[in-house]
Amino acid sequence: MEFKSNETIASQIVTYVKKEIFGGRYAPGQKVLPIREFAAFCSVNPNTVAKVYAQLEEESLIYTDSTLGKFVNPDAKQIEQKRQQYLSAQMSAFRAELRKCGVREEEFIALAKQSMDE
Amino acid sequence: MEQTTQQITQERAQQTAQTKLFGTLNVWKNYGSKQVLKGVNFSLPLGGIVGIFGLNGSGKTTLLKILSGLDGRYRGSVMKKDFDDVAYMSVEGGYPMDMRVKDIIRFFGKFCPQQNTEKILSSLSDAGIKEKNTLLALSSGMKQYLKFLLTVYSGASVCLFDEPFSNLDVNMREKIAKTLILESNGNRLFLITTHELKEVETLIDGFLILKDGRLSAYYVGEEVRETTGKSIAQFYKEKVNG
Repeated sequence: MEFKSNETIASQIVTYVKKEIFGGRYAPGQKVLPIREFAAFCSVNPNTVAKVYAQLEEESLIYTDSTLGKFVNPDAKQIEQKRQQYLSAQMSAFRAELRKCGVREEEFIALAKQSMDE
Repeated sequence: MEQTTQQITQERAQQTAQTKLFGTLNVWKNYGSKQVLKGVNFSLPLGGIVGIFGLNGSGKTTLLKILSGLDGRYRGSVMKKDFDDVAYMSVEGGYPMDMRVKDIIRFFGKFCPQQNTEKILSSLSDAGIKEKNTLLALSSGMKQYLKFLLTVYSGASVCLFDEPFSNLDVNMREKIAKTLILESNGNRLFLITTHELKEVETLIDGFLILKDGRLSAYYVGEEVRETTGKSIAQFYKEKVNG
């Protein structure tokens, strides 16, 4: 995994896992790797992954079963809600960037369509 | 962000109710008229992965030899609170070349009652190293990997790794990184010296910089990244040249 230098490793992994969950590659209810194994998978410090899991748990994207380990939230509806929230936040940020270049609604939609056709 | 080692020690000790400490008190060392270490002080609770960074010739190897107990000619003291076992992976060789891999493992096992012999053997066979081989038959990278395995699977409370990644190919470096991650825990302290920071940047909890014969305060890796917006490599470069 490649990391940017100007952001904490933890927040970059949080984003990575979110995309895996929202993209359906980590399905609702699916078991996630134990801290140490996920740390080895990403080649990062185990305490970093502990922080990542804590944050994802706080956002109700994963949960801990005291005997079985950690799992993706099994409630697909709730995951979809979180996904929508995430996407609209991404979209606002993106639109704000384009607005700086003078892009207004019509042009924005035209650009989106054009980009889809490419 | 810049906290004294003592503050960190206290915080981390409180968090984990950990009392085992490793460090030095005012360690001085000279080679003839050349003063290499000029009052090195640090104190770390056991647990996690910590880097000791410094330029070539800054005294990293000298410090590790003192910490390992191999070099007893220095002033000051090494502090080991509530534990006694330290393992050391040196840069230099040192085993007879006609010794077999399995004999070296057994030899180390005599000194390390907690040695995880099975893990050493399975890691070696994964890397294509046969236990009946003599050292003569191993490449320099394979010898280095063997030394790494003997250290990390020694079971020692403190493991000192001197440049474990240098001169290794990408696969070996990855194996070493993953093993460090899987074997590190709250009761064992891994100290790693290196001048190639990129390799350890994401692995470490924090780091100390050895410069002009002294150690810096303890820096927490993620805090450096968050507060300075710089990679640890960039941050270190500025510190060491500043």
